[in-house]
Amino acid sequence: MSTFQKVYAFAAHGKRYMHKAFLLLTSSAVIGIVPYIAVYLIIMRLTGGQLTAGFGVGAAGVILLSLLLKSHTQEKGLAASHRLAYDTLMGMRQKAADKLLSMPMGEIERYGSGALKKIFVEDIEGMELILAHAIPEGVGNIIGLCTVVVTLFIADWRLALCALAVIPFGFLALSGISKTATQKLELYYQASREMNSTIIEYVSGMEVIKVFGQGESAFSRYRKAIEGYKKFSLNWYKSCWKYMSMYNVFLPTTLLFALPAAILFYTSGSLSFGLLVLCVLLAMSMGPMLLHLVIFFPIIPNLRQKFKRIEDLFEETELPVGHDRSFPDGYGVSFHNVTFAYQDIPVLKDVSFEARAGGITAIVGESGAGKSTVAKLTARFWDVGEGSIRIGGRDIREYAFEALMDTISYVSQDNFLFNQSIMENIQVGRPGASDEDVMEMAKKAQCHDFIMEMPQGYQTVVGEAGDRLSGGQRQRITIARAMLKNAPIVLLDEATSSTDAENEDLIQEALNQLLRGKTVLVIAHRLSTVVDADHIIVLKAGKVIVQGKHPDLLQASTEYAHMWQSYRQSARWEYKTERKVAESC
Amino acid sequence: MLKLVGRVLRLAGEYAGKLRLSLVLSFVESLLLAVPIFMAWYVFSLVLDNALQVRDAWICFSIILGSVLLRMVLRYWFVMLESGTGYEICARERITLGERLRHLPMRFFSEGNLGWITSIITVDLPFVEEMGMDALDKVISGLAGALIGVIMLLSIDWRIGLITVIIYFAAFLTFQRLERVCRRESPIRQKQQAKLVSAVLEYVRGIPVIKAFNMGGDRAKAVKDAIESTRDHSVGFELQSVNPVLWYRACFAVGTAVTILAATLFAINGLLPAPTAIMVFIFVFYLYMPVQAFTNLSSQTRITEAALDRYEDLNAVDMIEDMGKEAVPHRHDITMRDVRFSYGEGQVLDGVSFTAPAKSVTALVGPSGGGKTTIANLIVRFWDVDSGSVEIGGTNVRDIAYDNLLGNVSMVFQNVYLFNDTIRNNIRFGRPEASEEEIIEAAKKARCHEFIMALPDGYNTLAGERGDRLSGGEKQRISIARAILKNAPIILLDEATASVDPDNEGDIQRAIGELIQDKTLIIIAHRLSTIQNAHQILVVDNKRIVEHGTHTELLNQDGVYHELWKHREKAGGWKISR
Repeated sequence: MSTFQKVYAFAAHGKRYMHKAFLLLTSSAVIGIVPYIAVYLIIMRLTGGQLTAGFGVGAAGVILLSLLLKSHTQEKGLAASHRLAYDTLMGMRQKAADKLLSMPMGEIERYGSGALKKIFVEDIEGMELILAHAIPEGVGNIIGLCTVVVTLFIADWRLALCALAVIPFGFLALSGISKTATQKLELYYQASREMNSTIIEYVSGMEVIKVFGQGESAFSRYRKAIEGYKKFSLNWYKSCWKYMSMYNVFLPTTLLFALPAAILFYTSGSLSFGLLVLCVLLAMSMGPMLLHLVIFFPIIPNLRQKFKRIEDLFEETELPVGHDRSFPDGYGVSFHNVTFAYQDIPVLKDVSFEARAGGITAIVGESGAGKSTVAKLTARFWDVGEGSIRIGGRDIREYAFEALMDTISYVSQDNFLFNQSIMENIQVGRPGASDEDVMEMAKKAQCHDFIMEMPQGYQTVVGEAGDRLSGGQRQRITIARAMLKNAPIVLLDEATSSTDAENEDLIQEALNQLLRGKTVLVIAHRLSTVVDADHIIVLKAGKVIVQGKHPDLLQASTEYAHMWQSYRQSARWEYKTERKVAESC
Repeated sequence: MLKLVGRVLRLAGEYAGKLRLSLVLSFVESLLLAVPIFMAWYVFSLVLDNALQVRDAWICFSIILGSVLLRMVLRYWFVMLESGTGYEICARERITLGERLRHLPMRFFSEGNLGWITSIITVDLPFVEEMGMDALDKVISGLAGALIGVIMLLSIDWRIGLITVIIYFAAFLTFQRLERVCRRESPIRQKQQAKLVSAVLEYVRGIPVIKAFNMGGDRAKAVKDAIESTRDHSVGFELQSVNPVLWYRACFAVGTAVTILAATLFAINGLLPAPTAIMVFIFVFYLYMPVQAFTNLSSQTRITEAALDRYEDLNAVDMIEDMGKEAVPHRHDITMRDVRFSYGEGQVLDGVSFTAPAKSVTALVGPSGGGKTTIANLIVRFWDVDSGSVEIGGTNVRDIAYDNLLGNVSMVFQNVYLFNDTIRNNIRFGRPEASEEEIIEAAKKARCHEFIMALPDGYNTLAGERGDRLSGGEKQRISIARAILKNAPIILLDEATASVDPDNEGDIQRAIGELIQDKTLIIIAHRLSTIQNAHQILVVDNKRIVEHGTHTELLNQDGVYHELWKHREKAGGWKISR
């Protein structure tokens, strides 16, 4: 129930539609008893022998009108509740869009685009059922039910109780479901997840399966997962169906106790024929409403899960931002005793170094040493655990986020482009830049030529070009974009240069253009690239083990010398199919 | 809606009998639904005859209780038959589909069909199984209820029965209108949904760029516009369906009122006995209820049909023609003779011939898009040549049994796929009967034993999707260990493999070095320095082999290779500097 309340809270700003929906749906439910009263009056007159054609026509007219009015108010009410629901969905989605802007980038990466899309689209869509149907229809039904029950109580309270006597049976069945749910639902979900991942694996791994001639064994695993899912789903449903058929059958059969009781009261003389007829009619009218109240029950656990995911996203901590916009001491970057852990796993420990303004500083180390984290912390993907990162002598957390972003270009392997023209994609770097400026940058970034070869040139839309743009071409466009931005600090992941082995030299040339005159912090993977760096920082398991210039490091650090050695070896490596006589070294 | 029933029955195949039985049961259950109404009528007639006694209370109670219990059993039984069978059918379909997938041509999987296939099995089939069967249930019980109502009313009084028939007919006509609106709107809705998804995806994927370039306001606005127009479309759709629904409901309102009026007038004129009239009065409220609920079913049936459409499309894909019966000969040289090939439009290879001698290194170099990867794909028959031939040891690859062909070739390409299984089993995949020692031996050769042992669960660590702790290079080396274990005599290698993980390039290189010992190697090379000692280098450019020879021979020719070498020299010696 609390889920309903929380979801409902999101709808608060749509009060107008909410009130309208409630009002209309409640009226619809109340109007719903009019035809029963009319029929009661007809029956009374018929059995009393006073029924006239005129009364019949009048009563039929009232019935027609009330039925029309009932469906009219109901449909208009549902239209209003849908309006409310879709407004609320929109509000939730927009809130989520804003939320992403204030969340730390690192957390967004942790979610992954697939999971975020699922929350944005599917999970939020699921709330429609609660907002447009479960809440307004539930409330309408409860009020309609109350109207009938009150009327019934006024007519004969004993029969009212008898009519309501089926409810415990219904609840017994519902509690049976929720008891089963806790036991078997988890198994069912698990089997369902298991099946889905096995299917995905089977389909995505088909190439490998065929290449290794493992069709038989992979298929038997696939078959097992599917049969497991069938078994658990049938297992869960079989126990549910028992209870479902119980409440489906009991709840609308309000006459089960009411009719025999009415007979007893009538024969004992404590009930008139008129009230007998009225009570039977009213009791029967309760049935569908009772059933309608519980139809949403089985899907609640699912909706609760969806809402939980939405709520969790909204409750993610936001990145605190400062207000400073000016950089007092230029654009040098320095780490002061920085310690950082990601999901409780320590990544950086007490890291200190200085990347001088206008100089090239390289971070080297084995994979997993924490190199990329240094760049990501500088771009505030996360905030440091302890210590501080300073730019221009001031803690980066004191700057306005926009001001910080304006000073940094982060060039990584992620070469995301928007689904618009290449021209617009480069212009992202500096909104309002002229076509000439864009082309100049494109030339420097070595992408002008291939762009001009496309039929639409700079107006080619990236999404439509699709696979026509290779990874390396995309990369060069992102470099042109960064060049246009012209930020004083460049964070470069050197792996970028090998995204397209065929055109490595072009990307390298583009990068050289980008780095000109900037403060550069490069995450280096190939030592040859950074031998000329002004400063090299060697990381190992999150700690700085040594720093200095290449020649000095070769002398001072055996670890560095060893890294250099093995780098040289792999650069000289060649393919040979001859069997080696003996293992060298 | 009836079309859907027919389609599901066809899909059911051997289960159709069970489904039909469930329809009969559902029909009987609907019949029993009227029991309490009959009892009420019975009581009213007794009262009017002054014959109601205390024991009638017990008769009533027992009969209603009996009908309720019987309905419970019937309902349980037919839901079980119907939905239960739904699960059976979908499980069977998934399994047959899995079997089919194994026999689809390899290219089918490398052509970007993965998402499509996966969504059919994991999204469409579950929808059919849950919502589709549920819709079937509602359609059938609704129609059964309507049929029973008409028959009952006709047998009570043919004139009143006729009114009901007319009403159903009118309702059927207005329902067509509702369906028309849905048919018109649902593709629009789907398109809008797709727009929302792509806007959201672009926003979410682009968020690093959006933040880095301070485009928050602008981009958030773009996604918010898409969100807003989704709202507008959804609301619009609801509003559009209001009127047809109202007309549909109006038919039943008129039907109810006219039936009551007719029964009243007939009763006054003595054409209908009073108890029967009362029976009609009560019954008429329940008559139309199940059919009125059809308005909520439209979208459910439509999505089910669309899901079935997609499923049938997938089933229509042709299986591979595997006519070959021969085994790969013991000589493992590879020959291409005058091979021409196109992927449909535009020639990709135009008369390619070469021989790669057994146990030699043959390198393919040349600009991207020149046809290097296609040559590798043709050797393993991801595609078949248009003309010319590919031979292994002198036997045309088309004459070789496909499993046997694949068993003799190992491919080491950039896209590594590991299964959600232990590292041990992932390596064992190369040769299932391999012993523990052989697995470890292969892992050592592939330079992965050390990092595997450093993992908390060692060889029992889960790899694949769930084991994200493995880096790209580590996954690459596990896949090489797998290939080492397979020990196929022919290796096709894309050199880009090695640059997946620049930090561990050396380890990957050494792993490859072990793999290719004593093998026939065809390598798609990017970094020319690694192939200076290759037995032959084929320069593929513009659909043909334009130069071939050893490194020194080619350098002296001053042609394409010479040009490439100059470029690579430059890239290899790159230093960040200004």
